[in-house]
Amino acid sequence: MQSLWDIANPQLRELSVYEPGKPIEETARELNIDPREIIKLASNENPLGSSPKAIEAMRVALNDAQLYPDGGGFYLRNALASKLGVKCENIILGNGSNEVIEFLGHAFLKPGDEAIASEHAFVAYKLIAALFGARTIETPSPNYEHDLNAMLDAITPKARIVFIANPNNPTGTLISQDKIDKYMSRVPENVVTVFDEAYYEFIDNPPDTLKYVRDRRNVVVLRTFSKIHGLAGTRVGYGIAHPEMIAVLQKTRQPFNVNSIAQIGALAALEDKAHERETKRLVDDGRSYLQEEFAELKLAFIPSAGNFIMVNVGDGPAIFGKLLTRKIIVRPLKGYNLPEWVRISIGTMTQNRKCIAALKEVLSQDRPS
Amino acid sequence: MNTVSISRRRFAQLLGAGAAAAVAKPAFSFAAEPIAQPATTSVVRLSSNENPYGPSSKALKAMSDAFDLSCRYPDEHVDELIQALAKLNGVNRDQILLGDGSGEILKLCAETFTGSTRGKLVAADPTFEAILNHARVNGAEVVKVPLNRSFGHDLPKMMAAAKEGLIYICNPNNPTASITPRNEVGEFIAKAPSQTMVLVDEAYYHYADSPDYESVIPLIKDHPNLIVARTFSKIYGMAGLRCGYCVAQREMIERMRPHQPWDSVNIMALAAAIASLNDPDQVANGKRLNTEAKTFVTSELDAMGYKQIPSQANFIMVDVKRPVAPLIQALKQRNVQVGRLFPALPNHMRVTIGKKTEMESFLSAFRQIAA
Repeated sequence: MQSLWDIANPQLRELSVYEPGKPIEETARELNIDPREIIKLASNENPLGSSPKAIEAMRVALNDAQLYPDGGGFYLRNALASKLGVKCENIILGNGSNEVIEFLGHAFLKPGDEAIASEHAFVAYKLIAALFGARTIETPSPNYEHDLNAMLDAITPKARIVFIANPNNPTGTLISQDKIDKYMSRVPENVVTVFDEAYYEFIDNPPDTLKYVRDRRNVVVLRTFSKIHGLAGTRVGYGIAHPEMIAVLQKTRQPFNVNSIAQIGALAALEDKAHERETKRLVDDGRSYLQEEFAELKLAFIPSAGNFIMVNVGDGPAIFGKLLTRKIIVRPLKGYNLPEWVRISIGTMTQNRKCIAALKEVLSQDRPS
Repeated sequence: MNTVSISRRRFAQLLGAGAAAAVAKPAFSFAAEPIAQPATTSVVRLSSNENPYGPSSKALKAMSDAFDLSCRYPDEHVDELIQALAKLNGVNRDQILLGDGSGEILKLCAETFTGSTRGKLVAADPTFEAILNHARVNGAEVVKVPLNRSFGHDLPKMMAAAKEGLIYICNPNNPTASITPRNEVGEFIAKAPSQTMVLVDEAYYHYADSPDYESVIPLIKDHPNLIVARTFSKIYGMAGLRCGYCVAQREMIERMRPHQPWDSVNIMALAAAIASLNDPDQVANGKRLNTEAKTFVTSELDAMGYKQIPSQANFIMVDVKRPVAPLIQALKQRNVQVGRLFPALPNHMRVTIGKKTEMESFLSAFRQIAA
């Protein structure tokens, strides 16, 4: 045996590792500046911070940090069920919604199987599929949107899961109710469809996928507290599906996967309508501003339904590097096969203005007139 | 929350611990759910081997400060904790993998090293059972090897039963609080075939003070098939926060890592763990207080004629000389929660070492029911 890789599962060799947004501290060290000067618009985090109600509840919860969490997530699952009009048995909690994607891989994917995702879709799907030895079929994405017909056509007898991100990260594109309904009328019964709705709360008239949960179709809807509720650091997300599906997924998790502080914070965040409203307003205003500025700058962008916008800057990695020296972190999208584009998370209006000002500077360097 | 009046403090307690009782009966709506225990009753919780003194005050402050960052993904702080743990254990940074509790480390080990093609899991009976379930999820055969007469792992039998796959050694062992002597473990690791992984779970490491016990982390440099798991749930008092880690050679860590979703450890846990490692009193005080309360309760039990398996942990396994199940129920009715029935030892009761006052409550209730 030359190396342990000789006996490790072969699919792991080729597996790319997820690269998160460049951290603030690391950037500050590299630039030798105060971290507070840095504007991070790279990870679609909530620019308002966590829900204040959540923080207040979490502070109190620290008094019991030595006690194991409620592994069943009883209160949070019930609160979610009551908010969503489903039952507790329809909900599974994850250590972030990413963990629920991992549960799905555990439950449904094995070597030789296929998962279907769109080109330019959230990278987690193919990472998880590869982990379980399954192949990911990536369907073409004309106009950077999911093509649900192409995804249906890609379904072979080996297909187990179809991942549909709505809105999609990083493109920000939204799939209409009509297209979802048509898809659901055609998708075979033995294929699990995952609707990843991490950015659901930012959508104005969101399509309804929970009706398919209520109809006991094989769908899993993913949501998270990381975005609208600003709890990315606490790690809590959830999946919604029919009870038998949830029972299957529950088998694959470890007993105490969601920490007690996050459970309490999430519960309080659900009650914090003001923070949710304010976050959405801030994102709506920021989106309008950024999109107008991009148009002004004659930069192609994809109208976004999320709290981020994908914009064509010509050379994504170069512009990312130049913005970095101006203390602004955005996300280059080379890993998504979108080398001309960067993804900019919508920040506070001050942050958005600084970002546009810096972008103007670096673009004028590139385009001497 | 509109039909039930409940303080935030009480609510936090319910979510953390007491909810266990409520979980048994899922109800349709949150608002309609009755409270698990009347708010005036104080339950003595000696069931989950938690640390009754809680996290370091430095950890509490660090977590409180970390709420400013709770809107950010936690990746920035991972490196800092890894660096501190590498230093603490005298290994390189790439030899540490953090987990969502050591529970996640066990899950990752089962996923990486057991399965229908990768091999079976060999574990003691009784032992901490979480990893058995994960191995079964992976389609692996699970072989249980009874503990030997001194409640140590029967390592020769475990080695004979193993073929590739993974051998799980919980040392000190849960639920027996017993240790497997260091010379036996050392010899076993030296002999274990390189195709078989050995996972030593040292969750209760800090509580063991026998000269026959030592950590096997120093053996990692010579043994690529050795993984050692540790946790912040016990001496560091952070069970609710979910933070654990393992130490192994770099290549093993690299094999396990892809099985883990990213951002596995939350920001509060990272902040608290880093702060705890900088508090020299946390471990020393935790050991001392545990020893004092343990000495008290074991001498009382000895005087009553109830022997225990010699404990090297923050809990004791008491021989109650009759089926334990009814006693567990009787204690529960007296608001004292102890460990569940362990079928391999049906006449033993597992009792977590709480504060001295909690042990007094336990003894008082135990005298009533055992009389």
